[in-house]
Amino acid sequence: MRTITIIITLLLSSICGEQLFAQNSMGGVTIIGNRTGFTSNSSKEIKQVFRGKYANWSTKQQVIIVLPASKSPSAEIVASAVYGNTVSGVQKYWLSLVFQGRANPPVFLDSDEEVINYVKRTSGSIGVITAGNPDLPKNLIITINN
Amino acid sequence: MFQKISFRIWLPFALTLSVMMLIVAFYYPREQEKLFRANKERELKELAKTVALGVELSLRADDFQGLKKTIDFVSGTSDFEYVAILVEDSITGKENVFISYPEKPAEEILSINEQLYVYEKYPFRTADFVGNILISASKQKINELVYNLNKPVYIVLPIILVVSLLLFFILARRISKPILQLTKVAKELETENYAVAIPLTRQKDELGELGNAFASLRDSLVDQKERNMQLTIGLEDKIRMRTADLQATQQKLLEAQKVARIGHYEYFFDDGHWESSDVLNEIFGIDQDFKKDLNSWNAVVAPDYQEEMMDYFLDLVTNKKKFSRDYKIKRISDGEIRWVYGLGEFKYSESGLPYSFSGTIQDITDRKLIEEEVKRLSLVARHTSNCVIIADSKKVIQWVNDSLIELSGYSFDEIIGNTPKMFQFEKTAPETLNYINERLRQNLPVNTEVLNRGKNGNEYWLELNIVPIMEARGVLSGYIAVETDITARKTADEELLKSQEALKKINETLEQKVLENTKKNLDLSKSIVEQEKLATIGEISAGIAHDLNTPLGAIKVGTESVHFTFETLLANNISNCSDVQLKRALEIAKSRTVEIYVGGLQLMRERKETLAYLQATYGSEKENLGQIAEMMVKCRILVQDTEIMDEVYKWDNPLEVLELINNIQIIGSLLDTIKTSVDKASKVVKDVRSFIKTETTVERTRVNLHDNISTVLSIFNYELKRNINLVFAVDENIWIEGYDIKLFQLWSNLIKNAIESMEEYPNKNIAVRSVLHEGKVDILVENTGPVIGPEIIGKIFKKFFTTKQGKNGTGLGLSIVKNVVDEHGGRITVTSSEDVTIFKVSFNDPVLLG
Repeated sequence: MRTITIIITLLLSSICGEQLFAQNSMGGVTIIGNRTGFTSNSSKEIKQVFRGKYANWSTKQQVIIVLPASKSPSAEIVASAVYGNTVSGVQKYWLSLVFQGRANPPVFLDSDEEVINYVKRTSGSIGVITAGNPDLPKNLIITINN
Repeated sequence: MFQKISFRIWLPFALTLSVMMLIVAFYYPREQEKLFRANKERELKELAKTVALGVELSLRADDFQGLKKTIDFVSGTSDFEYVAILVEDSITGKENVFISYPEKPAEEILSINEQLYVYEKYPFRTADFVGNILISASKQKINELVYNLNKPVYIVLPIILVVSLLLFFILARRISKPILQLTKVAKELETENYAVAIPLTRQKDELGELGNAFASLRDSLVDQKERNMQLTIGLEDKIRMRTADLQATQQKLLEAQKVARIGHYEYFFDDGHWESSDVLNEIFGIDQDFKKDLNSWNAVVAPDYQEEMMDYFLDLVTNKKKFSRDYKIKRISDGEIRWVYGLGEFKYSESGLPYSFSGTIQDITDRKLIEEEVKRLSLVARHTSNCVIIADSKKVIQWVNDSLIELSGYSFDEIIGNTPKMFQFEKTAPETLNYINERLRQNLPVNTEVLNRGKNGNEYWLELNIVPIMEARGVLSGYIAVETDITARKTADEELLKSQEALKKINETLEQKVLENTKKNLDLSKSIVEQEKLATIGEISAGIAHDLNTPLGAIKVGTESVHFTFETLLANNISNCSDVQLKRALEIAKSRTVEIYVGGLQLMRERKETLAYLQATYGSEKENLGQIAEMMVKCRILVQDTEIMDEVYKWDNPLEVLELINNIQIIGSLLDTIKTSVDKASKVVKDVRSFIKTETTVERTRVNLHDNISTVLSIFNYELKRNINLVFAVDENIWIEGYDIKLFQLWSNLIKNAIESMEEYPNKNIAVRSVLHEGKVDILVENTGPVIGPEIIGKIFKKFFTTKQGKNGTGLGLSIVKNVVDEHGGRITVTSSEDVTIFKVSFNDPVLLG
């Protein structure tokens, strides 16, 4: 399964090779959002958002992070791509944040589709799914500037 | 204030409420706190558990929303301090702090400070995350919560207490107010202020009823007072009347007591005085000034009743009896013995001790005298040999004495209720009975002779004396008949009549018979006299032998003494003296009569005088001055013979010469005694001869007791001098009328008995003393021999009684002594004890001649 995923990822990377400086995916995952308030869309900023550094967007709207559930197939790749950690590590990370009240807890969903639908419905939300989802509306994709 | 009823109503409630409040204030907060802390612990545990569940849920189901809510909930609790996730280091095994909220240093969390915080742990476990939830609460905040929890109690309870006490105080005052008012009213009513206003109330409770009852009571009291006033007035009148009656009755009682001679007394034990009524004073013969104490009370009792009354009184005290008896008193005023009857009883205090004794005393002397007379008469009537009959006015027998019963043969019961007719029979002279009846019909005494018959048919003659008993009003109450049995006289009279005939017949030969009988009687009389004389001679022959034995014994003893003294004289005295001294000694001895038995006191006195003379004249130039003086006294060379004393003293050997003189004197004296004894023996023989010849030569002369006794002592001089201490102290001037020879026998026997009684005694003492009394002289012959027992003393003067069987006792010595004493009109007594036996011979009418 992992091999298949790598192969698919490599295929997708070759297809989207023309967008090396403005890309829609990051480490095999696609960042999606609805009315987000990024200032630079940099991967650093995106990662900081996913790490709960910001509670609200610049528009004063609450930042709602949507992540694949730990049992989701995409959980591990997301953990690795966004948090550079394991699924368990991501959980403990969020456990410590929520425990200390330093961030609003993310919304964990079981599949990319649920993530897409949630983000589509929820203004101010930002989610992450595995890259290359065909059902992904273009307007939800957040382009990442290196 | 504290005595007020309102306070006393309020106080118990206040105390009870205060105690209850204190209990609540003490226990309730503690129970609250305990409960609160237990809840807090439970809550903390539940919170830890919730957090653990939140952690598990967030990690298993990615539900961090729930965890957030949980943390928000936990941190929102009031006493929350922090919550932490502790995980165990897989390498070291130690717990580390994974995260805490609010964030605190790991060291502070791991080093649990239980003084400041309360902790609870709860474990959680996921697939790859295991640890504990540690939740902590602040103790200070919990304490603040506890305080806040109990704060209302601390504030509310005192308020409730104060308000309750106040309310109950008001209530108590409200309850007590009508009581106080009614109390005041009661006090006013007590002082008979019936006009006092009684607070009436509309209350239907007990206080209201009490007020109304007081009002009714006041009204009743007013009515009662009015009735009492009326009653008092009536009672005062009655009391005045009763007092007058009482005084009259008292006066009558006093008069009655005076007439009955009953007096009243009361004796008080505390101070021993007694009080008495005027009548008793009169009975006792005392006046108002008489000192009334225990001694004077005892003095009133007749002397021969005092001891008996004391015993009786002690018995009363012991047994708490009443006094009731007759006894005699000796009237103080004139010493007359009176009979009284005493009644009395003790009065006791609450402690049970008698404090007084009171009662009455009645003079019953007259009654006693009558009783005694009645008793005497009764005794006479009962025990007289005459027959006595007491009959009533109808001649019915009421009482008879034993003599009549014995004479008639009837019993007491058979006689009582009958008339004297029961004793009459066909031989009883009808004319005599008519005479008796006629005299009695006229109430006149009867004196006649009557023939009666007894139960057994025995006929007897009675001399009959009948006395009618008349009462003061002249009414016949009965008869007393005293009858003397004259049957014997009557029979004798009959026999006399019969004898008179016989006498007439023998009268003619009577003179001849009288002459013959007279001759026979004279012969018989002479024979009896001779027989009596012979019997008497036989009886006294033993006494004569004893009388002869005494002088013969004296001669024997005197001869032995002369022999003993003469040998001493030859062996010692003569050889120690010169011829001149021998000659002079014989002259001196001849000129002086020695008294061998000079009394001890006299000897001592004379020796003292002689010694004093010698010392005054010659000083102490010779060592044996005392012995010289003693020997001079023995030789009767006394201070009035200073020439002879000087002569003897100046010799070289005065003691030897004096001993020579004394022995010569003793020999002379003994020879005199032997001669006297020979004379006495001759006289005894002469007396016996005189007695046998029915003639006496013994003459009654005046006898000097000293000389008479001296003669006897000289007879026994040998034995007395040898081993007996003799004291002879009989006055030389005493003379009595008597028989010299018989007195000699008297003293001989007493002295001889005294010597013989002490034969086996080491210390032998005999004393003969005289004691003069008014019209009497006692001669005491004393010895220190054995005790004469009381069983013997009564017999020793009996003829032939002796305690010297087997020796030379005849049993006649002391009987002769007794006869001699009796012959001299004297008296002899014996007393004997362990110390001394004394024969005291007393003679009457002694004569003192100087």
